Amino acid sequence: MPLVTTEGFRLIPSNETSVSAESINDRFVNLSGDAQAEALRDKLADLDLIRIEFGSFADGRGFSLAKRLRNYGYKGHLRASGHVISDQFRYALDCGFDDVEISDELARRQPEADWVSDRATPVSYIERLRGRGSSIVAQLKEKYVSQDGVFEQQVTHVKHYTDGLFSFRVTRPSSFRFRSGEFVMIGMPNAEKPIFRAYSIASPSWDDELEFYSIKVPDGPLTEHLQHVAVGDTVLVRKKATGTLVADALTPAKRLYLLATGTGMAPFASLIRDPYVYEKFEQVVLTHSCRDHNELTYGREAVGRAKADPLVGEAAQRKLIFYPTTTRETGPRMGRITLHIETGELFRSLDLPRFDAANDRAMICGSLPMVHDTKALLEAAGLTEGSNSRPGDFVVERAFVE
Amino acid sequence: MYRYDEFDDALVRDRVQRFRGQVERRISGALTEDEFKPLRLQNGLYLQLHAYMLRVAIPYGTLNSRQMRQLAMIAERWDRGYGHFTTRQNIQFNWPKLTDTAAILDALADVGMHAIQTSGNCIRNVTADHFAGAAADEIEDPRPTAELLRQWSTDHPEFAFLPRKFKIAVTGSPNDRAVTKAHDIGLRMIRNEAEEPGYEVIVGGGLGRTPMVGKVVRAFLPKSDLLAYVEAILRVYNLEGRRDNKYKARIKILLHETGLEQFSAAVEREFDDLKAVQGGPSVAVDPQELARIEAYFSAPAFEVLDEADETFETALAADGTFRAWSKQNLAEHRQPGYAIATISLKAIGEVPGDATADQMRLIADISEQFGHDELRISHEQNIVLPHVRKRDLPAVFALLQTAGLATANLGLISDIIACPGMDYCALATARSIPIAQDIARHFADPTYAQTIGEMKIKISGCINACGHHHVAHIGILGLDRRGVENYQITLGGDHTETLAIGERAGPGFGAEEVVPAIQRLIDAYLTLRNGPKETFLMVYRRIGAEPFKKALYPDSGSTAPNPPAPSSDVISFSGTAG
Ligand SMILES: Cc1cc2nc3c(=O)[nH]c(=O)nc-3n(C[C@H](O)[C@H](O)[C@H](O)COP(=O)(O)OP(=O)(O)OC[C@H]3O[C@@H](n4cnc5c(N)ncnc54)[C@H](O)[C@@H]3O)c2cc1C
Ligand code: SF4
Repeated sequence: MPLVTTEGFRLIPSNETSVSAESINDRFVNLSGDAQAEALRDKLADLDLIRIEFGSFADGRGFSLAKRLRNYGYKGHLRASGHVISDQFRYALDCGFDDVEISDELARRQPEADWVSDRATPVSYIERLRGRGSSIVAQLKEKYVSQDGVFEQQVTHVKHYTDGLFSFRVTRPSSFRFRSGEFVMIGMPNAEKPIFRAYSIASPSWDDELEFYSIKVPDGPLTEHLQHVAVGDTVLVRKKATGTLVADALTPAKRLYLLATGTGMAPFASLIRDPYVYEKFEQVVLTHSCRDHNELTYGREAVGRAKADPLVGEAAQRKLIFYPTTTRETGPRMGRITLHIETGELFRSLDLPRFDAANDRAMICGSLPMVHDTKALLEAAGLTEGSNSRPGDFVVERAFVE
Repeated sequence: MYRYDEFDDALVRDRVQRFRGQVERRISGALTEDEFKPLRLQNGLYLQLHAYMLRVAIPYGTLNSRQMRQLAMIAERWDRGYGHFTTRQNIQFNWPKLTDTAAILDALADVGMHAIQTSGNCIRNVTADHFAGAAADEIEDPRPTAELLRQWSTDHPEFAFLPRKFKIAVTGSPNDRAVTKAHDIGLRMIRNEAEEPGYEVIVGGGLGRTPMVGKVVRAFLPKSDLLAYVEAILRVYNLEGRRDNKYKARIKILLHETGLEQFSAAVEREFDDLKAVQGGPSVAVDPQELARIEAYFSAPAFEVLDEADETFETALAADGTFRAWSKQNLAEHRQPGYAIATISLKAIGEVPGDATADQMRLIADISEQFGHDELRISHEQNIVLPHVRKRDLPAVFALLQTAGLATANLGLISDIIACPGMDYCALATARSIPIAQDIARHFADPTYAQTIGEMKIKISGCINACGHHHVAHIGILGLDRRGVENYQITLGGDHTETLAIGERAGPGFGAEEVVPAIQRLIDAYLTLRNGPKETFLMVYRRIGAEPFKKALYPDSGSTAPNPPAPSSDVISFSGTAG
């Protein structure tokens, strides 16, 4: 019986395969759709795994049951089992399930790709109602809108890191203001209606140039051209910067975690050179996860630059901790950041306590699944999401729209 | 009105893409027919008697001229040149090809429309008062609430596979034009003693096989608690609603079997739990988002006018047909010098609720030129121009006359609601449209219809009651009695804030006997009333059913005869109705 996880199909861990109805024990519980969650309420803290049976995919009770258990504060593993179809995968995850156990027959009919693609929803109203629509709207808008109100800026510096990554700097218009961590739309003057895309500004708000750190998407409408920019070329920058990854969207606390994957590093490269961040927090932990080592180079350099910076270098040396991991290439620290959080490895190796809402604040920037899963871990630890209008314990931004 | 931005657009486009993929996966065998069916239904695609039917949502009945023109285009290009407006503020296309549906959905997305959740066991298109934002009697505009609920319920992860369909209606006026007491959840916008805005929450109303009047589960819910409370109701229903028998799966049965007190307690408990946790999916709505939604519904730029208008008064005096239309089809607007005009889709002899592509385009033009580019679809299957200057009414009327849209019968005996019935619907046990046409023709004389006054006739083609016959002054239910159509009559129903389920009068009538039976009821009413101000319903409430039954069954002496031995479905119909 395959297990569908957020990372694809997996085998069920052997110590869990025996969780059948007959072998319910102190730590594993099987529930059918008509189970009463209330009856378990007092025991939830002791349980490691709850498996909810779906007799038929059309019977949606399991979704509400899962939601109720999570609302009661259950933090352990929640597994859906039985007839759940790939078109329901995103629902199951949103309701609090960690994974879905399906039959071999269903796995054959609905292969891994069906489940993966079900998660790739560009937008959801519920997210928007929670106040997280604005960055996505800004991004989507620019896919259509024309180009009044843009600055034309000159490229001053380009550096390529890998076949897929590079950074560049442009001159900064004197009237252009932004807060460290924000993003802005940029484009190339190569068409009557240039294509604009959202880019986090990787330099701090006091810098006299603007730095960007970019992916190279093969055939990507913008980056297939942008990757060829050279010093002296023109890049278009829209006049308004925005975003939620700003220090003002967090309430004060002791420690700030900056959690990035891929080009999600960019806004943090800006923030770790902003003195305000070090005034507000005693400690700043920056994590960066990429597939291979050479994809970590930009982040490593950014940390080095921060520590050598005349303005914030002294504070960064005392307060900034860098925690890079690779997810594919073998190396000293491997695995997704969510794994390091779940296992406690992150905290052990840095000698820090686990997340708690009193002392810790966080910003997340990465792919949608990464944002989703990391966020779930923070929420499980009792942190609540904030926004510009309502500062909170953590904020998120997707590094790109799928 | 609400306008799609890039976000809404991306969402509906993604949904169309998803559905395309699902159709392909059905063909490849990745989805079984059983698995595909609910996905198909949740995208508005029904399998009907002759063909697929596509049901398109008109959220809370509001649309603009561009959208109306696109509906006309779709009717012409992919259907047979007309569309059918339903009793739940949807439009149905009865003849699209399966292979065209994705293209139609794309065309809808082009104008900010969709068919999401117009059928299936999920939260359906949210309906609201069709006079919202215009009516003089309104306390608060219900549309922002309806839009909030629409967004919240769209693709809701937890509530896409409920025991049964789930319908929500909102009204912001004490005169309930949204039939809130006949919905799974009805919301009445009210004020508490401290003048704070909130809702009266009504649960468990519904028509269908077991008609029930909704019950007040919460007398006052503060406005900001809405989503959390609705979520609590739906969670209780999703977990506890019956799944063993689809005829007993609606929330009204759960409420009925649990009892109001216990049901409310369960909801309140869930609600308290929800308020205690952080980040339940719907609980905290960003205030900026709320403000953004509300801003869309600010009033159009009305001109400052006197209440009386000379052009209008002159036309009234000069033209009897205009006078009759104005008397019947206009309602009071809250802005001086303006009126709400309803276009009747019940021309004598036509199919109730149908509009041709040409008619749709004309209505679109009128709304653009004279009506602040707004249109509403009423649950009584008519089209509303919510904001027209009185000065422009004669011109509007003249245009409507050119397209057979100037029937002056709103609220009169020929303004009949009829479900599609045997002509389209696979579940039907009898025809309903031809019966409506017969009645309308019989009472075609406008003077006679005016004499009869307010009269709601509603017809359903089977016990599922899509024609809302239970809440008609005279309701007609088409059944099949040993292969012969048989029409049962109910009396005294009411679809307004004083909602009442009609009482069954006695044995049914053959198709040819329906019109004479209605005529006998009308004759009785005209003799029994205390003057023209006393409507049929008022007389019925004053003197009861007996005199009308006597008129219906003249040969049977003082009491109605016992009905024939009921067939099994009738037993389930009346057995759970109490
Ligand atoms: C708020 C926000 C901030 C952003 N900041 C940055 C940034 O600092 N640096 C940056 O390179 N991009 C960033 N992006 C993504 C950026 O807007 C573009 O998507 C990217 O530059 C590719 O543009 P394109 O036109 O070539 O391809 P697109 O058509 O935009 O993308 C094609 C596909 O490539 C993938 N993709 C796009 N961007 C990325 C990425 N950054 N990492 C991995 N896969 C990706 C996606 O699957 C996407 O569907 C950001 C996006 C958002 C919404
Ligand atoms: S009442 Fe019956 S016949 Fe009429 S539309 Fe509904 S299901 Fe079909």
